[in-house]
Amino acid sequence: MTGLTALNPLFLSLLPLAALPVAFHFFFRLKRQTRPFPTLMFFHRLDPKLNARRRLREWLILLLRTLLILFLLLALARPVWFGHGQAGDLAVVLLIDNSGSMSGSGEGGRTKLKQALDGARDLLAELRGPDRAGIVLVVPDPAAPLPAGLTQDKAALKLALDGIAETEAGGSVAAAVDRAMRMLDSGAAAHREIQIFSDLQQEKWGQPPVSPPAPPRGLGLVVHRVASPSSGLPNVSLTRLEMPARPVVAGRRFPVQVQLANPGLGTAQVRLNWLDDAGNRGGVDVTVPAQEQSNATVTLVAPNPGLRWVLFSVDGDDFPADNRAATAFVGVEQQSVLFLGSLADFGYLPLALSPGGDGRLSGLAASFSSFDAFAAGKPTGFVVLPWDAILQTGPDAAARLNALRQFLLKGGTALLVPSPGGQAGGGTKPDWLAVAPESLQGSSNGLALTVLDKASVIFDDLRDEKGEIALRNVKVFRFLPLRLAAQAAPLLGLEDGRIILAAQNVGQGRLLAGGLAFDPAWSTLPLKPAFVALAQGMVLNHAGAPASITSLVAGDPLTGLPGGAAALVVQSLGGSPLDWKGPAGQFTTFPRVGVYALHLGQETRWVAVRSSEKEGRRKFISGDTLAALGNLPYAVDSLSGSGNAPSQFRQQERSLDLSLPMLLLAFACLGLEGWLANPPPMKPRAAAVS
Amino acid sequence: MNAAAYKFLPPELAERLRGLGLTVRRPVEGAMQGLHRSPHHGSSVEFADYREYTPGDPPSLIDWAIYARSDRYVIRRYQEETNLRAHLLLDISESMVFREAGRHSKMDYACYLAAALMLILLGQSDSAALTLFNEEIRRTFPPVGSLDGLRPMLLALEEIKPAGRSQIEQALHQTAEKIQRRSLVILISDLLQEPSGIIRGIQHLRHNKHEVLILQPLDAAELSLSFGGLAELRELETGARLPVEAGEIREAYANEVRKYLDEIRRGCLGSLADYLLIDTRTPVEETLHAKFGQL
Repeated sequence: MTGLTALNPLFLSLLPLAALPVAFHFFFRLKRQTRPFPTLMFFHRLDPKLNARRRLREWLILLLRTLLILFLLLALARPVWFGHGQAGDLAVVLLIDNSGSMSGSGEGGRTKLKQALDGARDLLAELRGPDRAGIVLVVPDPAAPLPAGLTQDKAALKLALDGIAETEAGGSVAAAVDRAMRMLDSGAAAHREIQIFSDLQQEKWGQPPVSPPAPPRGLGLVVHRVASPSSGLPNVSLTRLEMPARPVVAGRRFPVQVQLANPGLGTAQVRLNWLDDAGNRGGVDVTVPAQEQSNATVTLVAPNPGLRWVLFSVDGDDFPADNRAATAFVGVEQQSVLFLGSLADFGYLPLALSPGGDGRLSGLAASFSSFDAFAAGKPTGFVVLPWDAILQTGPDAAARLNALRQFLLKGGTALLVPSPGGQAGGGTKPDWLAVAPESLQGSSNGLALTVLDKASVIFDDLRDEKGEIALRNVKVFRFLPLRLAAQAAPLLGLEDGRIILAAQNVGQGRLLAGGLAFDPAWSTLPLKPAFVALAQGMVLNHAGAPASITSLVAGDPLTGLPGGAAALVVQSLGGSPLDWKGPAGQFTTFPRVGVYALHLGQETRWVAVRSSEKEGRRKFISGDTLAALGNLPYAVDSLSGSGNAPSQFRQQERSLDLSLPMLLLAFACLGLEGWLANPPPMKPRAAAVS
Repeated sequence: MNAAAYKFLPPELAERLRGLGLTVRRPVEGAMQGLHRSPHHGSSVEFADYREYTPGDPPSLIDWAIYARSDRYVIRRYQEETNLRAHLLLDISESMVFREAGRHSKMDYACYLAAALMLILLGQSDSAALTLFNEEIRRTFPPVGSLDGLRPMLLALEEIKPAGRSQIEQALHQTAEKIQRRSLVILISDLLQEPSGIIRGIQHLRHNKHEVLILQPLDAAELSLSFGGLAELRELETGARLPVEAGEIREAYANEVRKYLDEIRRGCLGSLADYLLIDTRTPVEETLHAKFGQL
């Protein structure tokens, strides 16, 4: 970068203020009052050119005042003439763009990042003994061994450059430049440089910074553009992974929706591969039309309960850094459903929950038992019982109710349903039970079933793409309307507003109370496909608290971590390796795709990272205007591999700060103006000799 | 005359002028007997000289005592006393309107002076004439010897509206040519012109045997600049403008005014004209007492 540059260009926009003295002059001349005076004869006798002299002096003062403001503003604008003046000690930050876009192929078949690193090495070789340098990455990479701050240790710097690898992340240019400037601020070098190596992808470099940094004094900024050759091959990005909403039961097959996008102009034929934590792998061929998205469904099986993960990747396109994604989930154990009664007491419900009875198809194993056995044992899981079982009168009625209550208080989940052939009622409802059935009622034409709590998790498997619950055209012919106390929440009802399914929290457990037997004589619900999803949703969506798994796009900041010095251990589970240990406040981001466990004391969290699809966009800035650098003074040159960066670098060292000369000129104008504006009194003329 | 009716001759001023007298050092020619010496010899009581008797002289004028001692007919001559004819020249140019430090504007002060002088003159049986001028002679009142004759002149003073530029030298030349008899010419003006021209006019009057009295009323703010800072001055008579920094020029200005006044004073002295510089802060009667009370 050579030529004249203002480090504080804001002051240049104030240059019109230099016209203020002229404006004031004319304003006050209009406002100046004249004094009537008998004669000007004595003034003319004193000096016949008094008026002319005064006018000349006024204009000179005006000119000097204008120049004073002009030079002052120029001094504040900090003009620097690069390429001239003395060379002093130098501090330079090598800012390497290691974002995903730099993983693309550059000239000679090497990646653009490799070219950038070669350019940085060339510059490093130009450093003299007292010069200091540091390295900043656009995507902070915990795996890269960068020296902390500026150093004169060239060996360490070269080693750090060798350790920088391609990422699959997006990054913030403004944040990286800010880090570089803060690194320079820590030194006291006369000349400070930021040397940037980047492919200038439009996505990152075309956006102006939210809060533009003020250019520090003496800062020179050179952007070395790494060329991005055009490619005829299409690029496909993996843009979204969608896991099932309900817990995945171990051993049960589940679908994963994968969304692929093709921003290019040609149709792409790619293969979507997957690899799970157990080493199982597979793949499907996907055709993605130009500038469209395609969804592919991959059916997987979680072989065991616990944390499971799957890596997806796209093969067959031109750009790899936006092709991968990882997902993690917790596989739950096979669930048992205990029916307290006979098969006939529950209608089609046992069949819907466990078609084979052993849980192979649905992950739910059904078993039947008596209430007495339930009360005597230590049951766990999900229990279904008829209303009659708890509303019966008799000497052991209280004991039954107490057994159910204890089951719920300890965290159990129970579903109360009417028997298809029986009628509830007769018994006494205990105080803790907030739901009570009324007498059996019916409708020959049937009443429509309606969802009263659309946010409830038991309906998650019934939702379509828009989130609407697909539970339509269900007619109810017989039902027990439910009366609810304040502690109970309605879930399903009839078109006339009566409630037929409600939920109540009891201690750590949850009680579902229904007024509808799952029998075709009671309603058309058992005949609908939605019935199976609803029945299984009632059981599985209460299968325990979801694991703490966060999905991230590579390069995005990880939120929710405690700041400060809390010890954090990052452990790589799958995908790109990253093992890191240190204060939680110093951890930056995940630059590559993978699944990672984060150990914070006794707490463990998991993070699944997918690549940034923005990095695959092939728009690069070809001009010299980089909005991401805001008001910073910079120059753009091409890193052609011809070694021109070092020569520019040496020239860059020399700069002439013109602020002081401007300031001196301003003071000179001030002095002259003061001298002219306050002349000594005019000396009287010598008396004429008479 | 009812003095109360005149702006420039209020009763208190007229009262204070009582006892003042105005006279001349050289003989003047008057139409009536008066206080002042006439160039003609007559029958007054003041002895002048002797001359030989010639036939035709009244025999009663023969000094018989001389005849007894020398046997010659000698006639004794006496100085004739006559009244004074005064011509007042009043400058009514626009510069006379200035007033800053004084009690009155220079014009008003000059009018007070003219009225007072005319009253004094008529009080001692002299006659007074009045001429108003600026670029040229605007108005002339012939000599009057009575208070009734003074009335139009006093009214004319009240009607004066200062305007135009003054041509003092020209006015003096015209007056010198116009007055036939030896008279007293009183010029009341701020004399803000080059002194050489004014002195030439005075010398013309003196050459025609007239007595000349110059009264120059000036405001104190003209003698030294009373304001500070930057100001744009507008000349009253021409409208010309000049921005000046008072602090820068004050001393030089005062010095220039002093030199100008010295020049005027020396010119008057050299022409045997009587000259008086008047500060308009001084009351009119005090000025007159100071000038004429000792005569």
